[in-house]
Amino acid sequence: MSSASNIVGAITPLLATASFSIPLLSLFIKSKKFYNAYAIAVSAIVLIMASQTFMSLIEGGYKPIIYKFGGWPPPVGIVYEVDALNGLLGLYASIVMFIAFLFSTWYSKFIDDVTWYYTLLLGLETGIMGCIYTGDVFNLFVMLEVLSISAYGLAAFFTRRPTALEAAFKYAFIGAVITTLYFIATVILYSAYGTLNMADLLGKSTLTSSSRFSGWLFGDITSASLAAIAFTLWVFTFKSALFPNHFWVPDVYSAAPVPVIAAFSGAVEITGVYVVARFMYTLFGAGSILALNGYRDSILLVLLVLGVASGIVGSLMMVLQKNAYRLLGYSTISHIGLLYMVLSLGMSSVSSDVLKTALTALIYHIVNFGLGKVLMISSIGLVSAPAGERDLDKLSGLSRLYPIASIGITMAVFQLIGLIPFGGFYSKLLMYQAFISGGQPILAIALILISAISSLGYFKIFYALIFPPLLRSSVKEREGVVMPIVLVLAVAVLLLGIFSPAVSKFIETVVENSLMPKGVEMYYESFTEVLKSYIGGG
Amino acid sequence: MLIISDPISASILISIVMLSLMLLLYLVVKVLKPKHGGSSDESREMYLGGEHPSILSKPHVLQSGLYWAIVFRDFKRAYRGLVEKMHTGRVIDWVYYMTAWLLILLLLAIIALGISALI
Repeated sequence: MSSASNIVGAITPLLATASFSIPLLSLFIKSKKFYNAYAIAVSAIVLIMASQTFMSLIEGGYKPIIYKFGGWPPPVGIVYEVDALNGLLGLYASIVMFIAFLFSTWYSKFIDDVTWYYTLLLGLETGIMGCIYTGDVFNLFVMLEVLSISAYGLAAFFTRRPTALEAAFKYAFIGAVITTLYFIATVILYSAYGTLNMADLLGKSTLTSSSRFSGWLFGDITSASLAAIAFTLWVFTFKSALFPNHFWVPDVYSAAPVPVIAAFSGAVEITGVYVVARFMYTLFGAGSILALNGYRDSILLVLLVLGVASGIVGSLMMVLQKNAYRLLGYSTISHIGLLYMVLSLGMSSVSSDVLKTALTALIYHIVNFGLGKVLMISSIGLVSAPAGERDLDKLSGLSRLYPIASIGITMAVFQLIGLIPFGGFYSKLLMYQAFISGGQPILAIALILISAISSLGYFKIFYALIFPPLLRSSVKEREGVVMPIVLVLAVAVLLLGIFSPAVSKFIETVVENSLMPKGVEMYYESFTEVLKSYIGGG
Repeated sequence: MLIISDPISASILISIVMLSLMLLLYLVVKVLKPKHGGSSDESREMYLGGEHPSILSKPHVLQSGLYWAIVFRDFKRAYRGLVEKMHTGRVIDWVYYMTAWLLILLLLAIIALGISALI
């Protein structure tokens, strides 16, 4: 195995070991500073490993990297298969998580027990990175469980707050049902296809291959695929908070620790979007058995409608909110709606050029939305955490104490609304282009409408935190590490816009080498190459 | 007419123009902003319409009163549906809507199976 694949394989074991070591270490070490440094070091190492993985992909012409756990060949053993898409999203998620950890070192002064906090946050990153990198649908279930259990714990972290417990209970209650359904989906897939490996499933779902290891097909694979994809989509639209599976988000956001909200918004929901894209474009793409009777097109159409609904409902609900983070929760729902609007343009009637533009817009907007949201949450967190308040009226004018927070909020609002020259504008422009060139002017209008309505919500944050005079006295905390975080993110969202032609061209290459037919072929070929190395020439 | 064929140069130029405009706007606001102000300044008092009269005792409009007129008058029915029927905060209501989405997925699967059986 190459060093690149070894690095990929080491990411989740490293994170899991680091996470589960903390309770043990806490028996001997009580220093908060130690755990801050420990968590930062681990997340920085993961960031370097994810960067190295993506660099190896670029150097190798985006040929997918495969890591075989325990040396077992796929499809018998679990593999991580990293192509351009999950390579880039893995890097993106590790950046978001690194920022969340960095922010946590400042936020830790408001937390009594950092050991459990970091145990859960590292557990969350384990789940996220595992879900993104895995090439095995059952391993995806395991990583989904790791992600979910950490997420429930983090949502309930402030156990003395009834709202936190209520939010976590509701989230966990529905989440448990959801993950069980995904487990059933994997059982159905295995019973029909005889394999859990994603690339093997891809080959069999397009009826182009059989594997000597997993045999041919068993029973009625059409009904099995239909049932499995129905359950899978339901599960991951819940994880990505698409309407009407979005209800958990505002409650969790209004009660969770601030860095956790950044991690949820920037990484957890995006993981759900990634899995849906992986299933709809790689495993069950346009040439798969799902496309035969128009089911895939119907599903994409429903996802499109739900995307529009999510965008509109999220933006309308933003206007009503009093809690800053609840408002941001609805903002996330609105942006997730936009992401699904472009993700579901892969219907058979849409040309490949339009699809490429749409998927480029999808990934570009994931990055723009995620970084913009983390910037917004970090800036508001700087104001709200020392004040011990989340109500916008009670935070009135408090950002006057923190000029850097005012700058961050302003830049984030511009980024999320999509103003020139911020990156948010250019990804929305790409979405607009995809809708217009795909003959969908109504969707283009919906995009503008959603952005316009959501701006009313963002202006509330502006109005509450920046414009009013300072009404109440509040202890001013030192900005510490939050200042560089806000500055770097503010510059990043600006650069994402200024260099948009180069950025969108780069993302287009990623899309070409992952979700488009050429990329899907490469994903399958890498798998067969590994098989051939075991069975000799295939 | 100025035509820039290089997209990076065009993007940088647009960005510089927009930043210059924003800077200009900032300077205009800074110049026109009244020198007096503060929490006791009555000039900040606003009455957007529909708010409780107690709002007049506040030094500025509360964020919750910002879109009062739009939200609670023009879109009253839409918001009643969104808040009182959908976003009630009760798990059972969530499950109702979420199950409807699962049923749509399963229904589409059954229809697709039916079509394949007919073919």
